[in-house]
Amino acid sequence: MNADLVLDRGVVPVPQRSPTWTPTTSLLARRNVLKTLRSPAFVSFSLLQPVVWLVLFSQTFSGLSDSPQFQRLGYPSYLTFVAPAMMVLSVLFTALQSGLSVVTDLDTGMLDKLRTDPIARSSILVGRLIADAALMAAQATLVLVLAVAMGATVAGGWAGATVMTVGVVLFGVAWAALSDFVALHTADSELTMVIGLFLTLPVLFLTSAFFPCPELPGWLRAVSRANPAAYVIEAGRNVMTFGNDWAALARTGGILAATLVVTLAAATAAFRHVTR
Amino acid sequence: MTTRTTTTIEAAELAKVYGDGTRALAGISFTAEAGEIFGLLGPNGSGKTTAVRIFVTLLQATSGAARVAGYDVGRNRERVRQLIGYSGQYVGVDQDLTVTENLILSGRLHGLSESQARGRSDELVERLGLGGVAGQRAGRLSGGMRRRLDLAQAMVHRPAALFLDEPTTGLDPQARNALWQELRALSATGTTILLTTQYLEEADRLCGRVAILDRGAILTVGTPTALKDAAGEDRVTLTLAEPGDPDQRALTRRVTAQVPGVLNVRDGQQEVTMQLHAAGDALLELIRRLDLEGVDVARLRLAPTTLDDVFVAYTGESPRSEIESGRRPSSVFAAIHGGRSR
Repeated sequence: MNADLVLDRGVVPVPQRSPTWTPTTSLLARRNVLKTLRSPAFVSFSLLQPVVWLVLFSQTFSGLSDSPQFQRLGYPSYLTFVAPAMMVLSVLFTALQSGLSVVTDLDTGMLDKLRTDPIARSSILVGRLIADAALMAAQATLVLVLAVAMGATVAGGWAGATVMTVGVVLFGVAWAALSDFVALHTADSELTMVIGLFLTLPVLFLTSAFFPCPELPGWLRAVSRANPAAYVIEAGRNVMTFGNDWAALARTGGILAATLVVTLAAATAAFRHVTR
Repeated sequence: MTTRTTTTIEAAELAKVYGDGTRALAGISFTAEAGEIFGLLGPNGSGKTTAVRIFVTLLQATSGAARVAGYDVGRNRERVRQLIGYSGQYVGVDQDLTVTENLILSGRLHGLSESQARGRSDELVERLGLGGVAGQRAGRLSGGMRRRLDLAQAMVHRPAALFLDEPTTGLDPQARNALWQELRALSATGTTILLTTQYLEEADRLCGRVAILDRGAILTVGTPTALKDAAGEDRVTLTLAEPGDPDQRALTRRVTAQVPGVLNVRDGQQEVTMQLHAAGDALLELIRRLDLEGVDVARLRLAPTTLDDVFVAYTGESPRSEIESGRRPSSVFAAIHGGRSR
């Protein structure tokens, strides 16, 4: 082996092998979580924002609950109706932030260094996404707990609430991977934000996220069918209003998992773009 | 025992054409032996960074080969990544992690166990004089300290080959010296180092051999001494009392060119520049002759030969890009400091 040219008078022996995927990924996830925690202001505002959204929306439109059109849909209150959408809204902002963190790592040269380490590209991304997921889980849980404290009910109980939160986080992570994909292609924080918002806002507004609209025009219904956010919100509402339909939830889970696989694969492939 | 090569870093007809058609490397070849410090010397845009980025697997070569310890960087990325350390132009440390945390993370990402990484981190903190700041976040370190941390990170797994892209840019002279010392010590342990620089002095003080890069091609490879033999160790710049007088300028050119040890006389608009061998004797002789022939010199400056001068020696012209224009005093500078003050 010609690799044993490595000589060093140091005391600590050093192996010449690559670390495996799982420890690498968890190391990088831990690094990203640590970075987040070291910015208390960032954590505070990330948690404050969903609270503000929830309170604002539920109070502003609480009058909807009394309208006969709304009551015909069977939702107990506007708060219960809008809570899942608020969970999704809060994790979407964290998803956009994910791409910005990637741009920061690109700018500081940290990502270059990671890319010269003997580790899988995917572990760099998954390490990022796990940290995002942790923050998203905190946000989604906070929104749900607050909604319940304000009087919303969860027909699906603890199991339903857990499944709902997991679904929202799964969707958020898929969106974060999309944001990372954009970040790796543009290497520019402003572009990443603008494109991220461009992709994100329609996802929210082309659904019944904030207002019930059973009579969607045909083309919008088609768009809505291709919109993963619509599935999470829909599933969340069903869990809160009607209870757990496990078959339907599994279907939604499948759609979310497929979305994640696609965006994660795209983001991993984007590393190749940087290499050219 | 299998075949044991001592060539650790090798470029063979290495070429890179970027997507937009820019030809950054036009097929360069060189080798660096185990324990050697090899320098790529050239101005901005000469292809130095491109070459380094190919070696550290961040870029794909268009043609030709780059090898580390015999492994092709395109075909054996994983193996190459185990063998190399890299410190880029931008200091790649995590600003939010402490010095120790950065080092341990790097070690672990190279397959060290937690305790190995910790031990190695302590070792490097000690050796690179980072002891006082080990618990501080990297973002709060001075530029020089951060550069040292960056270097420590690149060494944490004891790489066979270390690639450093302009490692001393932005460092004060003291930090620069400390880094040079560390690199020399490292090469003494068998680590092969490829570094890029814009400074002839750095190449001179540090490198066993140097390749001069210009617009993606190697002009020459040699020891720093050989390069300076070709270009002279020092540069003399003469400002004439009457720079507008063509007779005086012609006289100056003729007189200086005849002095033994003077080479590459260049007649600029404001001043006449030349290179000098064996500075002491040649300089005295030069001054004597100028005086004797009645050349009216307003100012004479002596400075160490720079990369510009070596370029002139090899190409007859100054390097193309924006290299260190600050070194050449502007006319305003000359008006304030030079000229008539005699």
